[in-house]
Amino acid sequence: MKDIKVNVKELSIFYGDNQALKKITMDISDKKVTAFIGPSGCGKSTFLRTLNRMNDLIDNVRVEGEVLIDDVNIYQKNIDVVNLRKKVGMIFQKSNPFAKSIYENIAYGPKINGINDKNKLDEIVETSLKQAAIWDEVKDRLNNSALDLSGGQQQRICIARTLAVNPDIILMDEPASALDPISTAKIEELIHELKKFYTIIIVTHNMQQAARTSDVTAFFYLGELIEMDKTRSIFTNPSKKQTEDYISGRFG
Amino acid sequence: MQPFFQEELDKLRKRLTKMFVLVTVQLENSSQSVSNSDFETNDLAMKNENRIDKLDIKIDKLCQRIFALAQPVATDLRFIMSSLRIANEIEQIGDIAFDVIGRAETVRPFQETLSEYAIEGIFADVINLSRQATEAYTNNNSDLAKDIILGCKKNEESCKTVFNEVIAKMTEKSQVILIATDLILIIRDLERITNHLENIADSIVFIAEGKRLRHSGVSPS
Repeated sequence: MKDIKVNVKELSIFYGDNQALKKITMDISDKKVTAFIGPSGCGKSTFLRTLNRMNDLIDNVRVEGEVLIDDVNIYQKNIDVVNLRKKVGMIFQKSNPFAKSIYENIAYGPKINGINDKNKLDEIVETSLKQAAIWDEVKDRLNNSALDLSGGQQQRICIARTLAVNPDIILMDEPASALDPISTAKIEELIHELKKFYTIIIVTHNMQQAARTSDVTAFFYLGELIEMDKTRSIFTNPSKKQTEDYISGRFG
Repeated sequence: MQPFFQEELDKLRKRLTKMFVLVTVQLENSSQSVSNSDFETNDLAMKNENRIDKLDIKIDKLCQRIFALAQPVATDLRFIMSSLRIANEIEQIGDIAFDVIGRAETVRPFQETLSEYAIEGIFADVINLSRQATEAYTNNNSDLAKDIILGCKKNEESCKTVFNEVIAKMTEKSQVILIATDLILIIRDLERITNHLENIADSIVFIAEGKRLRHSGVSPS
């Protein structure tokens, strides 16, 4: 189906003997925001990292099942992982700009992908910063260090850096958990804008954030996908008791 | 779950149950005011009316506080939203019941006419539906709420039938016009109360099941 961007079939992840994900099957829609919620250790971040094979960097990981992005299994042997991570960008909890200028942070990805034309790079930097809703705040100081910016601005620089390599999917692992309410609102507003062009998957512990930003919500518990539905259904009338208990704070 | 939140929910349930009880007493009063020829207006009805109004305002404030401080979701959200609606419905039932007491004086001396149209029976049904609604809300019983919806529909039909009969009588016999006009108003009041009770039952189903039956074309059975 055309509107399905990611198709996960019977996915299990093992860290040594420990099974972190248990036969997860789900479809993630294109150009929608999908939120993963669940208590710490439920496997949501593990699952997120599976989507751009970040788990490959951890020793002793075993993956069973299939993850298809645009109908291609990203765990098949001939997959170029660097290209995959370009296609599936990632934003982390703590903003992590390089200790370089704002311009260099954004231009870095395109440069290592072989773009060296100054005009082209300027255009990418400007477009990416505009898309990340931070152009007006930094356009006069592109050569200043990105580390001089506030936490919220740094996070948007990281989003711009991800956008600069033209991804299809953006993974966000608690992108606003270290930010103040105003910066959080800006990130959420940005997510709303970006979903017109990208498929966004966000892990969050903030229920209200999941409710505000996402179209679809998936609830994980102990490595299992308990329920996945439209966000408005999950937060008004979930079909599983475990989901109800978790989102209403009665868990445990 | 934060203890504060649970306490607020308990408080809401308790206050609304109190409103249910008061309005049922008010309905009994209004029934008495019509069917008991010895009925004397007392200030209990006025006191009840004031208490219902005050509780409605208190519930309004309580719900506002819960929404602002606890951001409820799922069943909690439906419970609070619906309690707010139910409080409003009860407040309106209270107002109508109070109006009936005011109107009753004109029709009270005509007990024979009232028996002819089985007005006491309609009152009894309304009071019974109100008691059932209290139980359904307190125990979160959607099956009972669905029964109430069916009961309300039946009662609304009875009101319509009596209404038409009284109108026919008025055309036939002009001497009865004075008492019949007030009787018609009382029947209309009972129909409106039944309608509010039906809304309440629908909200109780919504709390338990997350769906609304009214206006959806779905039969409660």
